[in-house]
Amino acid sequence: MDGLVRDFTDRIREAEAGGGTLGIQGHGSRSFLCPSTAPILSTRHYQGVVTYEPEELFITVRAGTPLHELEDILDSKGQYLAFEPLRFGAGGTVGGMVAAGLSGPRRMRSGPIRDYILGIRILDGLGRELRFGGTVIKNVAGYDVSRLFGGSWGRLGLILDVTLKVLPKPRSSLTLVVDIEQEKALNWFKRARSQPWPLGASLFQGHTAGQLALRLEAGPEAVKEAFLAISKELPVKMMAPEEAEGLWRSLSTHRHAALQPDKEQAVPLWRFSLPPGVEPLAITGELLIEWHGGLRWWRGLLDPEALEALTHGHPGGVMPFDAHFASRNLSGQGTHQDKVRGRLDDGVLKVFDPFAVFSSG
Amino acid sequence: MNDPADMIDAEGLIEALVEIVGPEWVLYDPEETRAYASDALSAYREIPRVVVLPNGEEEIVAIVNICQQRQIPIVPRGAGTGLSGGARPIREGVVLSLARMNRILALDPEAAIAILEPGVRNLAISEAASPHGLFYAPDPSSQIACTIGGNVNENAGGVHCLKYGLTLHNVLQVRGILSSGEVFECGGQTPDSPGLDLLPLLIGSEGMLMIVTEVTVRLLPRPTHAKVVMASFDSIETCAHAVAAIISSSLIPAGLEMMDQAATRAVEDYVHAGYDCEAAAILLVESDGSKTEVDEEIAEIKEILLLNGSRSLVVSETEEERQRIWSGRKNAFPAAGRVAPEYYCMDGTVPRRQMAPLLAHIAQLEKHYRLRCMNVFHAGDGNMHPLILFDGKIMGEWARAEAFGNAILEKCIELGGTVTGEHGVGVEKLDSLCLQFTDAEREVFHALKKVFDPLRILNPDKGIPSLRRCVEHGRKRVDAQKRLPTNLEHF
Repeated sequence: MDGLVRDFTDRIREAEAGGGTLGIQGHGSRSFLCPSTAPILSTRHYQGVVTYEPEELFITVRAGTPLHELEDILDSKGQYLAFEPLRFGAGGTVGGMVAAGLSGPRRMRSGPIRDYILGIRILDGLGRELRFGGTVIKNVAGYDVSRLFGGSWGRLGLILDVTLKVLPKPRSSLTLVVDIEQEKALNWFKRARSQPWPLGASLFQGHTAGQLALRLEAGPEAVKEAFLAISKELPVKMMAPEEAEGLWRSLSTHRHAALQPDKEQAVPLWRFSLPPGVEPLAITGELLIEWHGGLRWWRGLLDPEALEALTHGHPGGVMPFDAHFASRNLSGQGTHQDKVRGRLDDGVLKVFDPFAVFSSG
Repeated sequence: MNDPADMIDAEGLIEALVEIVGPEWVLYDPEETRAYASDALSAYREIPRVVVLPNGEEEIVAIVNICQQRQIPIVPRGAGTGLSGGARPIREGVVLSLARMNRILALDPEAAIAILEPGVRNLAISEAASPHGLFYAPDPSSQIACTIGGNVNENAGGVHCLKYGLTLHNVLQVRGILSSGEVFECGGQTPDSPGLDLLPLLIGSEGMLMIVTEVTVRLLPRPTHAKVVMASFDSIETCAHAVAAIISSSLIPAGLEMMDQAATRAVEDYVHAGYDCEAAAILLVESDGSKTEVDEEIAEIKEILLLNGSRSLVVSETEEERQRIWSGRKNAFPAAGRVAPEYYCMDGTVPRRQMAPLLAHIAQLEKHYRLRCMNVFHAGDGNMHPLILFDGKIMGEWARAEAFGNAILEKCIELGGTVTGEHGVGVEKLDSLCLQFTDAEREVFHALKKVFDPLRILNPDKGIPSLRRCVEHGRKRVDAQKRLPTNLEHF
């Protein structure tokens, strides 16, 4: 593995000296969101677990480790990645998961991926090997640099390995479903937010009316208790475990029918990251609503005026999930503070990559 | 202040500050500014040139502009409960107290968020949220006094962060003033915000990157029930082993705290919490949630503790009893203050399995430095608070206490941990940071500071040691006595 690190370092230094660029890639499963013309620096052979101590609730893995391998290892000890990472199909590496920073169905309960980054070892744009953070949950020595790499799309440097906080898997899980109007479902979440129910994930699918699925995760008694309490408010039914697993899996792997590209690829899939309390959007057609209202997927055409009306004052979180997704996200375009934000982001990028070796993604 | 030019500049500065906030909110008489000479780590003191107490973001912008033009350093300050000297004034600088900005700007139970001015007290958030069945989770032991602005700057934790996370995990958005005088908002109420995720950089940045003026936090459903188990152990090792057993089960306790015998004895004399003072160590394990959830977890916790060598255990049956059991842990610091004139609180964090080896090492250090140490810690996350007892009036004791503390922190790094889990670096742990990071890593920290604060006027010389300092101090680690100012005041 040291030989690989030397190769990485050589390639970075070469690119830096010759004014070249590099695009970091694992399995390339996310490259449809960040296509790059730069020569590829592949991490796929830099794989394996560095340290795993289940009773310490952390794992250190190399960036090229396949995500499913990591999940299998954790599963064998009854643990998991609580943020239920979003992945695309069966592939994907740990480094790609961190760099994309995209959370899956459990986002509102678990928090984003970056909350689980405890430490990181990187090669920066000068080829320097740097470590930040560590393996412990509490650590305020120096600025919290390791979490900066969550959602950085490979622009800050090459992640060599990352230490992630892991948690015991919930002891039981139950998915409830109910036919409901969209507005009523969104209103129900407003009340549910102050209830002590172990609501691990939610999905509304449909138009103005549709089906709401709620996933409860906790100890068996607590799940039962929440089920009874929710039953008093909504006429919910239990979903069969296999069916439920398939449903949530279709979201975490981005394979749900409503998320598939249309044949001609002419109509974009929009991703609305909005404050969860925002009322039903004035759009027609099928919608998927995750994260208790905080994430909404919709396929359709929008002119700029219509778009602005739909962003509810949060323009930065609404964009097509397409080849410009990463760059649009990183540019911070559409936020109210483009100038200050842009200057700080640029400054931070330059700290790690002064010669823009990684800047083209 | 000996330089007459300094005096003239000081006059001009004070006049300018008075114009912004009014005469009653600018303090420069040493009788008044003395109260701001230190934070809760009072061994590090400096009387500031001037203290200013603005009320509102516009006033802060005006103050920052004035300081920026004159290159005067600003030390932001919340309630001054910090334990690492992060709010220690800079002699030629301005202390900017955010105490007056203590309004809860919004509390939205449907969105489960609160928007706060920086001077809102930590406990006041949960008090305001309580009627809606909500609470703000991070609960540092100073929560009655410490402010959310300070919490953000220190990434404050508390006894419940194993389950509910640190400040970082509970803050959605931070707004503040950069040293350029510009407003910067980071994070948001949307689950994803575009741009680099700078929020983790700002949280825990010890006032070195910007002055926080507004914080949006998420609120969580308040658990309806809670119970605590108090378990006794005959050895530190068995106790540490039981902690590992709990963590590797499928439970995440709401609280998991450990105290050694020195600590239980001091505390028991003080608050009569009902602790087993014959035990080598005790463990407090809390479960919270619904009644069913709590009963389910407590049964499991009891079983694990008994299987792992607990010689006796008590479960709180009433809320009153639970509060009594916790009162001991919560009063550990004042109890230390009763058994010795002063105590020096450390904050190292190690992987949980290293807790017993670290404690054994601390026991040796007690002999070496001829000082007693009581140990209380957040066992769930390996964050230890050894309290080194000393008397500053005895020549050389503070120096020994400081050297003792540094030796503990070095051991924490050696065992794979960190020199500070939740108290911050401030001025106290600058030298320890030389050991934890390489030159290149510290260069990155300095470069990041420069991005946010190119003029270096926001709390300069805190948090990150200069390369020069590391060369001067880092190589000879046992020269703590030489660093000790001769005229040090205590309490």
